[in-house]
Amino acid sequence: MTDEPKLDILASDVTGQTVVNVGIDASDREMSVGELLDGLVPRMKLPRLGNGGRTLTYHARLEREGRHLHATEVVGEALQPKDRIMIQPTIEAGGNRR
Amino acid sequence: MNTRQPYRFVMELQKRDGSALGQVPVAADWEPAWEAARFLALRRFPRAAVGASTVAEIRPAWHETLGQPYISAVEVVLQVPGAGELSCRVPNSFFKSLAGDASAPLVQKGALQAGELFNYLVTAFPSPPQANGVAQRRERFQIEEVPTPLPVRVSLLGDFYALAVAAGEQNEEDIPVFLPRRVLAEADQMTRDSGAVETASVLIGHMHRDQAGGELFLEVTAQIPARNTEATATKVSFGPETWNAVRSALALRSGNEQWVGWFHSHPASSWCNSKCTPEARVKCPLQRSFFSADDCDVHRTVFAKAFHIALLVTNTDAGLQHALFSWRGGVIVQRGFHILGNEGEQNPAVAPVAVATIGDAENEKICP
Repeated sequence: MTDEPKLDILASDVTGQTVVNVGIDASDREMSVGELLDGLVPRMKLPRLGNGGRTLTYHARLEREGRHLHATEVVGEALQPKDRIMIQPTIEAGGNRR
Repeated sequence: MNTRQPYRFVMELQKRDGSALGQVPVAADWEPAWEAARFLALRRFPRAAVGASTVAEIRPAWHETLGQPYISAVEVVLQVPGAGELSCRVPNSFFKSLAGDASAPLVQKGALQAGELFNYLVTAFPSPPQANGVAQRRERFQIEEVPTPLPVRVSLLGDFYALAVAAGEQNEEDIPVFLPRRVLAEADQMTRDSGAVETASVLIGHMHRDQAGGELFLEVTAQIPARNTEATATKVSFGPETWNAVRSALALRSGNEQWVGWFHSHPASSWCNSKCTPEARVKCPLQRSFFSADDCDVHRTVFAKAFHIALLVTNTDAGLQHALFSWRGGVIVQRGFHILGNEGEQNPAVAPVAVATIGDAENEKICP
């Protein structure tokens, strides 16, 4: 255990209509952004899989710096208390002709 | 919202002659069902806040003729503190895509032919109580939903009806949706301009509550073209750059408009084999309006709120065909809408509305 306080950030979907507060224990700040996303996506009720079982891809945009976080970045180094990240999917629509 | 599921669900697959194909446990994405109930509460209880203290439970609606354990629907029962209880019916079509997924191994094993129709029934059984002493996986972070109430304007629904004409079949379960003629014209023009490739935009607007009757209704105010997309003849890809561009454009408008849906086109005329006769092209499934499985994924992933809509413009040999889709009871359905006239216009022309299919592969076959 450490005496460091919990790292609290806000995460939202692209519409801004779903927002959650994310509290990260000090001992877990070493996790990567990719690990954070893996845990965050289902808990924000966003689907992990699309039709046919294909995996959907999500990115985290750090609003303070106006950039996308790389999956390998360390949460404790990239994020500061009260930061806001936006969870953004890459996804295709269309006729889907086979 | 505190959600409870005292039942587990199992799907039975049968051939059309009634012979059994097998059973699969239902691992459903319940979020659209929870969201349908959440939005129904917003419609019924204007002053209620659906938050962490709201309890929601999924219960089976037993089949009228087959009886227990078969169900004809599920009911999402919501207890809203200080407001009351309501029930939102989610039809068995909610499980249709799961049935499709469950049939794939049966086709591989030869129990079903590819494209063969089959029936599915859903059953419900009480969930066994969770065993004590089962180690819970430690979560590496905690999350708590931050209430983000949707801004709702108080207006007179009658004022909107007076300036609009109905398009497509209206269903009283749906909230009224008003699309300006101008926005439809822009979508039409984008469809024509993009030729043989698909195009898309994000629809923005306002939620209103009728001052007279209390009903919610949706007004689309504009569409923001989805820049930085990758478009081909059969798909359009949305990525982070798309979403950022839309957010920037929305901020510049500073009208407190909300994301209310999306538009995209299907260049169906270009999909059809140019060597086919005009008569064959008219009958071609690709010329019909359809909301593909990929379209359903976009709607579920980005436009998952119960009031979100999707406008599809299909460029056919017979001209542009329109279809609007939205959520109803946790399921994506085609729905009617109202076309608002341009400023001062009393009777805007009705856009051609096509009857569409949703999520099926029938219209996604390559042209012969």
